[in-house]
Amino acid sequence: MYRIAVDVGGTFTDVVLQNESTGSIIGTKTPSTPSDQSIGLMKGIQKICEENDIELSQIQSIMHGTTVATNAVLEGKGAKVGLITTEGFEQILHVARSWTPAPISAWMGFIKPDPLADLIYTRGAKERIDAKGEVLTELDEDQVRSEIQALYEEGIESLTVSLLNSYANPTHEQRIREMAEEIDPNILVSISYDILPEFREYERTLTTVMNSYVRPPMQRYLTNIQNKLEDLKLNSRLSIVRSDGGLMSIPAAASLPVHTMLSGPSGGVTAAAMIGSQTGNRNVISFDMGGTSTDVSLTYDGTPRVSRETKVGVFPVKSPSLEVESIGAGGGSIAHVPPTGALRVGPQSAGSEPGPASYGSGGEDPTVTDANVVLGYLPPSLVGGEMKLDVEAAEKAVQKVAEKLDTDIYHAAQGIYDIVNENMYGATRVVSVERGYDPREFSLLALGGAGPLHANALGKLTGSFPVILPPTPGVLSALGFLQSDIRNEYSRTYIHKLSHLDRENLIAALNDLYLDCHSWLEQEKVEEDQRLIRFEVDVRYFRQGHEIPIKVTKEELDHAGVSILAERFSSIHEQIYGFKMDVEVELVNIRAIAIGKVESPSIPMVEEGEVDASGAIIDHWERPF
Amino acid sequence: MKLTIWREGDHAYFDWTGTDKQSPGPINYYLSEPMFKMFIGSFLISVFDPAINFNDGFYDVLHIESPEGTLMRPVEPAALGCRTHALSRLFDVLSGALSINTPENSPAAGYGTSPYFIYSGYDQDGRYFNLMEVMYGGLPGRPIGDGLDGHSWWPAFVNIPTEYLETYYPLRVEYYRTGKDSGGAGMNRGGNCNEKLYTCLAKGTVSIHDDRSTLQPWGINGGEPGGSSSKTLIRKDGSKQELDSKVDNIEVEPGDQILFITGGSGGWGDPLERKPEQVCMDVKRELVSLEKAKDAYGVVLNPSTLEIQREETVELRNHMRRQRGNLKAFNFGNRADIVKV
Repeated sequence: MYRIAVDVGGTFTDVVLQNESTGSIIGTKTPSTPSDQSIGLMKGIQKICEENDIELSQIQSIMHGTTVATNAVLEGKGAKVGLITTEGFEQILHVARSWTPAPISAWMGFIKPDPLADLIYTRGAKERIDAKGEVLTELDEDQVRSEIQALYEEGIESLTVSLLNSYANPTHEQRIREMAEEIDPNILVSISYDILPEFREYERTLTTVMNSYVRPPMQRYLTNIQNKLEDLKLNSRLSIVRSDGGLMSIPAAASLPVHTMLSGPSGGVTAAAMIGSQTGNRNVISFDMGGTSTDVSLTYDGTPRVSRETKVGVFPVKSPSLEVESIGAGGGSIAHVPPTGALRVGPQSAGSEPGPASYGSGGEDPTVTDANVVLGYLPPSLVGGEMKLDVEAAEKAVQKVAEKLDTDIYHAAQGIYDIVNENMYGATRVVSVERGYDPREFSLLALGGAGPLHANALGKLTGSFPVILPPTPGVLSALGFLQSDIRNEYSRTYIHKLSHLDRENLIAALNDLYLDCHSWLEQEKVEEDQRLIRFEVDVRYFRQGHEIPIKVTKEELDHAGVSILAERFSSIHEQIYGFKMDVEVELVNIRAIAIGKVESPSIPMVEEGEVDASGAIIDHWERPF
Repeated sequence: MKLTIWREGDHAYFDWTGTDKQSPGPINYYLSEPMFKMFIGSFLISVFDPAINFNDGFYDVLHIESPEGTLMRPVEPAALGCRTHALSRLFDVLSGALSINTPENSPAAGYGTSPYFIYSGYDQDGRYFNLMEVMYGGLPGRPIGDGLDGHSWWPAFVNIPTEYLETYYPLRVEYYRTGKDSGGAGMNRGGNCNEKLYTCLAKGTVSIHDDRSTLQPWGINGGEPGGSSSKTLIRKDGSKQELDSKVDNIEVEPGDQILFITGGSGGWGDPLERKPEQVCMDVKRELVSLEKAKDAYGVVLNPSTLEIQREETVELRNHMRRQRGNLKAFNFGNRADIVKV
């Protein structure tokens, strides 16, 4: 029996097939089909089966990373979303957090995208609940009913209900949903209490609206896939990959598509963590360098970092994701000299069309790939002779930059190479140094088509050792999906100072989330012995603005009491920020993570080779250094 | 505040001579020279080449003159508690000075202040509380497009969630929105101000310091000025009292309310050039009123359906163009009435 992982990217759909008994893997690529990603998905599955003489019936499970949800947001192709909020707060998405980017005066160039639920489709409900969950103003059902009807008449496809303080008391949101479903059961309704019962109204509303926005396109896509699988009589279990690297069933993904926004990048991180661990390097910084962008992430002690936030464009969605820092640096990044005179590389990219000058597809701008050709780091022919690089075109393109810098093409090419490396180094610092980790205590793993070419240079900058180049670096995201477990989270806001916290109360609250996790895993058809529930509490100093998630178990609380949270918080605070304070500590949110373990055989290791690398030579070429 | 700038060869000079003497009140701001150079460089970098890696290499070609004993270079003893208003305003002054020759390259004036709502006392459990909340306002119309409604000019600052405020402090927020029409009209609209209505739930004191309550933020390149700030105390018996922009220790009882309105911002470019579709959308979103759409932008909308009346709009705009004088590079609004030079 076999497992297949499919990662649909912008240009290519990567497919990896794994033999469940031996663990061996084989990969292939097929062009993506952006108009309907499922075409590329099915083509990829069929291609890899044909190439390896396998019947479709031998496929046990399929793990699929998709960008349908993200694309809907970035291209503005999601649903027309209506929003019902508390009267007086209709501009909640418009004002957002009032945030503008650094440095000083950068607001002048800041283009803020329109809210996903436009102001014209937002209505205020006559109701009010206070921070303790007490009802101050009863829900005016007649008024809300007429608002919903008006919104539906305007062609709303998806309704979000997000009321102030609903995390403390969901009854008004639930009632409004009931009324909306009575008016028109065909229009999907999302309430913020179901998506994210945590305080901070903007983030809760944004995340719920985002879910409403992407739900219709995601549902259409998933129905499409289900039909195609049925047509081919495929009995395999299809899972959708989440932004935090976990897996969800089709019904779960159809209901909570907001958790699938960054599934592709998560695969690369999971793969890096897995390869790192298998090679004895549990601390690993990975960088996935493609044609246009590089994704950098950090794994500590075999566990990738999970961020509580997923940045979708400018929107800070409160959906868990594997922490990935993205920058505009890739093989196709264009080198240019602006009027201010310093050499720049990217973020503009030549993409695949026209591509680097050396690809001979009409590109004339010098790219990182062209610099690599001029420097001799890329030989004139690739892929076993299948692809020829036009060295003259590369030299001509780099000459454009060399002229502006008043130097020769070799120094110019070296400059392009150095600068793109420095840009990527900057990204590695964000995930390591800025989080309290020393990159010299980590290994460096290169992914993506262009990664291996820059790995040693980046290793020198970061001081990370060893530098790891995995086989098949181009399809590593898909490989990561093979290592994923089924996953979901349940959380709620639970604001209590540690000194006022009753241990029994806390354990009871965690238990409620524990039961939610079990019932979800039951729905996902996970056997009891494959279930794992982990707990986290978000902690901060009293009345701070930001909190830190701390792992904890029920046994530890039973044994050591709540003071263990203060100790753990103190040491993590010191690690990240360099200091701790003698101030009261408070709990802010509690969380239970539901994990359904999925059997994933290890990838077989090859024998260690010799020091003599002469067998790796594929070509000879003379270039000045 | 008076700023004169000029160039000598490859060097630039920024001179604050003519700025008023320092104040006995707490509005003085000690402007550090390197910090001012940083502000100048950051502004120019944002306008011309935002990808430049920030560094102080340009400091040597900038020269700053700040006479001692003035608002921007006070001598001890000088009270600085409310210095953030001069700090915020100097950006409008700097941007204005830099744009005298090329107003099309620069934004209009922003809300230009740092508004604070301060509320302290003892809550119903007898615990002391002390809230100091910073608020924001209109970011002005700029060359690349509209300003931003109710946003922060200072980078990376965020507002305090209402749910946070109501958890930790004895107050209720009745509404939190932006001020309709407070953004100056322009081809690129100035951003609206912030408007927040608080109900105090505990006995205590309220202090406020903000600015821009008198003068309007100026419009540029044909754009109009924006709205100024205001603060109102609404006692629980309904009586209203207008407050100055800086007040200390007003006694409040549970049920008293504060209406906190910050400064708007100026518009960029000719309002009659703003696409009628955009003006119509502004009105539908309740950011601009039906009346202002007509009076400032020359766009006539059907009052019930809000559909654009195309012919009337063309006619009205032609009429307005004939009636008005030349467009002003800088439109200071009410300044001439208030500041006698």
